[in-house]
Amino acid sequence: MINELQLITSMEKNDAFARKRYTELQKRYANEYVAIDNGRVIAHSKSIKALSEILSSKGVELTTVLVQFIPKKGVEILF
Amino acid sequence: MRLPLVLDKEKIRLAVVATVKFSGRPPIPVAFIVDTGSPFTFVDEFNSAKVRIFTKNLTFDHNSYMGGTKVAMYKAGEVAMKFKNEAGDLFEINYNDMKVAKTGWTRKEAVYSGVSILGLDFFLKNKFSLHINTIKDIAYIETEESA
Repeated sequence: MINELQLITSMEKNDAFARKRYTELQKRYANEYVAIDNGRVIAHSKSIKALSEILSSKGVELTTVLVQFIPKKGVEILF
Repeated sequence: MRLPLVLDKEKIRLAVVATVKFSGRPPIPVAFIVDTGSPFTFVDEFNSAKVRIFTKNLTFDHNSYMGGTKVAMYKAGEVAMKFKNEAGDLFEINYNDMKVAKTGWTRKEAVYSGVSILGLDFFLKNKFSLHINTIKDIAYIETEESA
């Protein structure tokens, strides 16, 4: 079992990937949810439910998977 | 003590990864957005579901509007959170008012960003301060004992 420091580091790596490759992600996955693990996109879908089903069917261990919605270019998400 | 944040100039946001341990569950890493405009701190249900914490089993707290989309908040109670400090060591915080946001996957017409938020309540209840230095490109949470 990996410790909590490793969990944080793994998720930081996925978050950094999403940040650094954001422009590329917008070009490829606009208006989709992407799942990122080990610094790469492992699945994507227009619905988060469908994405969950894809990840489940692949038997992906979800603990450190980062899922983000990628808006199309020119659209920002306000929280 | 300082807990570093990511000052993301691409997406114009403050972010931090912390682990969240719900009662009786293993910890999960959560990528939070720091949002001082939010009065609540919450984990998105996609994340909480990783350790089988589902909103259908939690007590409803209130509805919020995020970017025009209604999001239901549920009480998750006390959690243990761990952050990485400047030295790379873990710093634990027990937070007693964590909420879980119901994801939008039952509402096909809604586009829900599925984010987890570290709100202003987190800073108020823990007596933390938030520092952002855009010249030095650094941001961090400072805990009370070293403030």
